[in-house]
Amino acid sequence: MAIRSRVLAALAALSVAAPVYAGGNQDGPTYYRDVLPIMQQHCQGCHRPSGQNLTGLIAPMSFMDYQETRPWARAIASKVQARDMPPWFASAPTGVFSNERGLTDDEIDTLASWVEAGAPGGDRADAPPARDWTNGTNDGWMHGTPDFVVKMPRPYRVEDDVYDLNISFYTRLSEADLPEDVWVRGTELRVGDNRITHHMCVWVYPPDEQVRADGSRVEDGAAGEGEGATSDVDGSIRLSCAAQGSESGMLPDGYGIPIEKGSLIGFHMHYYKEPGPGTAVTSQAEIGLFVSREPAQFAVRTEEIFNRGFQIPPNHPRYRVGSSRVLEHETHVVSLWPHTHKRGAAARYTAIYPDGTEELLLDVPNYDQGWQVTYKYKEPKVLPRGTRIEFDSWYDNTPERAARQDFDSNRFVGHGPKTNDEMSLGFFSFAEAGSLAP
Amino acid sequence: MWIRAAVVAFGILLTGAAAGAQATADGRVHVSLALSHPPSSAYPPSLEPQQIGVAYTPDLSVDAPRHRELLAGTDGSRVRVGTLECHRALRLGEIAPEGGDAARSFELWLTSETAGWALEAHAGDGGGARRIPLAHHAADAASPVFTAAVAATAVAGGRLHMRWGRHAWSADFRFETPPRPAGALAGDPDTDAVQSDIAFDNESSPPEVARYNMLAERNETAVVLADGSRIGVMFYKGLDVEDEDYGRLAGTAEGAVVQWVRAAPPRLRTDVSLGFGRTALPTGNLAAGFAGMYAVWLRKVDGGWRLVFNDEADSWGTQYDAAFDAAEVPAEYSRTAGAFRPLGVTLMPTGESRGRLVLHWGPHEWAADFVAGN
Repeated sequence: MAIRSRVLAALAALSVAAPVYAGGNQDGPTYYRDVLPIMQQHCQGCHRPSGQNLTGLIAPMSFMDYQETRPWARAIASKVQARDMPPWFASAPTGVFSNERGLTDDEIDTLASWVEAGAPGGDRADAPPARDWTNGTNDGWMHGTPDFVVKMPRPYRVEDDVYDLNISFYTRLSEADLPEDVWVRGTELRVGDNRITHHMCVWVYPPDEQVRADGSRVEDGAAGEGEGATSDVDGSIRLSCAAQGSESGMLPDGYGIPIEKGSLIGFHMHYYKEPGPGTAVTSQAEIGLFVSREPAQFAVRTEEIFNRGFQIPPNHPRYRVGSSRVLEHETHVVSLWPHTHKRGAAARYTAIYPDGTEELLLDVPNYDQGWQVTYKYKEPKVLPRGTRIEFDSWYDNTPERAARQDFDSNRFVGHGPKTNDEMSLGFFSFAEAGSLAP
Repeated sequence: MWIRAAVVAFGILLTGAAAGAQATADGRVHVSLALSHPPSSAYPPSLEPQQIGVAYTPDLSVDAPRHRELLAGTDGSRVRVGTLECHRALRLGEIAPEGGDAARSFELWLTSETAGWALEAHAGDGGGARRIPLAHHAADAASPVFTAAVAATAVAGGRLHMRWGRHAWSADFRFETPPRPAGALAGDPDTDAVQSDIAFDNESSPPEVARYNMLAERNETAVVLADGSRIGVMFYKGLDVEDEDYGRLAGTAEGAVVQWVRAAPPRLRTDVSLGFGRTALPTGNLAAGFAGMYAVWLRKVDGGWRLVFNDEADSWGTQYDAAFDAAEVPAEYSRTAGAFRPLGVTLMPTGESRGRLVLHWGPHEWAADFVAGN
């Protein structure tokens, strides 16, 4: 939350400090003719009105028309020239991820020239047709109208005195929600109040999982350290997670996540805010689920390659934490999601094949906790049995970063659930060959 | 509830002598071993480490008259040698697992009896002395003062070692599932509700949380010296002789380090500089003014072995990078037939400020002596 506030402040400062001009050279780029097509293609996916912007966790301003865009013109030029926007943090590989973002040099030049010329609107007649993001009646969901939506059982009030809170809620799927077993081909999360949400993860638990009257799940407590991590429960599946800058999405054709009717849906929420009088917020997260019309050929699950035993030294500028996992079956990887906290500076996935050759799966040289990007393969990456995936993360625990990110650099830091703790989790979503019985 | 129980356990860890991460000087040497179960396999459902520790004064010499009498094997002689602190699940001789949250503490007396050597453990709980029979053999080299060590020999068990004069004693221990305390049946909705949330008041989790997470995947051997300096090694749990990594050990090429595909290398953290022969291992190698921290690798050289201390203390077992080597020392290699120990590390004091770093895996053992504060 603090990071987002600072970004907003910086953007606002840029705009205020260098106001755009009303006039401009109409022979140069104009908004309607040259800029709007770029905005539609690369920006409006996130920069749209509330409820349509990737879980509600990012894109604090809308760029749907000239009036909304113009005040931010200088900031836009600055951000795209620095290649901070559109946000994409991987240096390699390129061309393999479906959600890869970026502008061409020509597009950046167009935006820069437009701002230099005073950010003129130009002739409305030059504008391309408005892009229909809402698809008419889908209530702002990114991927169309979900087949069914599951909410937290009740709105939850995050009280004034809360600073950092991990808490879980459970909703039983009713017969009306889900009358039969299904394959889910995609999910979309809405975190509720995005001002206080560090992340949310949604799990599905088998129908025989029980919930107490107070809403807690009976088996909770065997789960780890209160991160909402519950992977030790037989039959449980992580449906999706959302954090700052992350995005839900659809699985490739033929891939799905099974949900039995009567299952228990767990919402594992991490709230994070400044405590104090008047800061209480009431929030209710929800998940939209998109059902596959055809049975899936591969069952997808999400797990992590992890190291929870590390200790990042005080004041260290670049500390490496490694972890590894050997694949026991041929595996189809559909996405990668590196996850660290405030000190996380870089992340990398590497495949070491059984013959010893290596392939870089993902290199994120400038990791930003505020952008929890899921790197989604256009086509699932097939890795043979015996492949070892190594996940590395690097941490900057210097006073300089601590000043920017608001943490204490003068101590050893280990794995923990709070934002000022650290993590080294290389999530990957995958299906194993033969994961479904014929 | 489990979180509360774990926090109670952390308090024990921090304040107790057995495995305190931030021990204070009390003039005694503390040796400890912390083992942990997988999260879902133990009752109560927590990652509470299962710990055993022995504390003793470093000046129990062989020369005191009562000590000489005992060490001569005089029937019925006994000397108080220290204290035992342990998790409630410990079974050691007549010390049996019991319920409750609190750690247990015993005064230890070394006794010579007609039936043989034994430890008497007195809890002060009215339960009388628990007898711990000891295996005994003559030590290879005389130890002028009493020393003790605890070594992991199994996933949930180990061996208590003691040396004094020409004597060496040992006793095996294991951690068992303790009896369930009344009214705390996991999974019973009618009992105390299980908390599904954690809310700490401050910005970061207490240090105990990081330690708790570390001990979820690793074990720890530690020594706290009489001046309070702590030396500890965390090592991955569960790498037994049936693991594929063990199978790769024999194939380690000349000049290469042993690789652990399924584990991180052991990690040494020391509050005090260590001297291995002429090789110094300083503190502050990663952060000036703080404890030293090193990954410990095994290198096969000239048919023998060496211990390599590397500044990338948290790389994985397949990610050795010689560019970060800080020191390398010869390792004394030995082999114990018939041993099936999982990968383990033991810090064994050999004097007030001296010790032995021992890595053991199956029948293999690698060791190097060190002097603390060198």
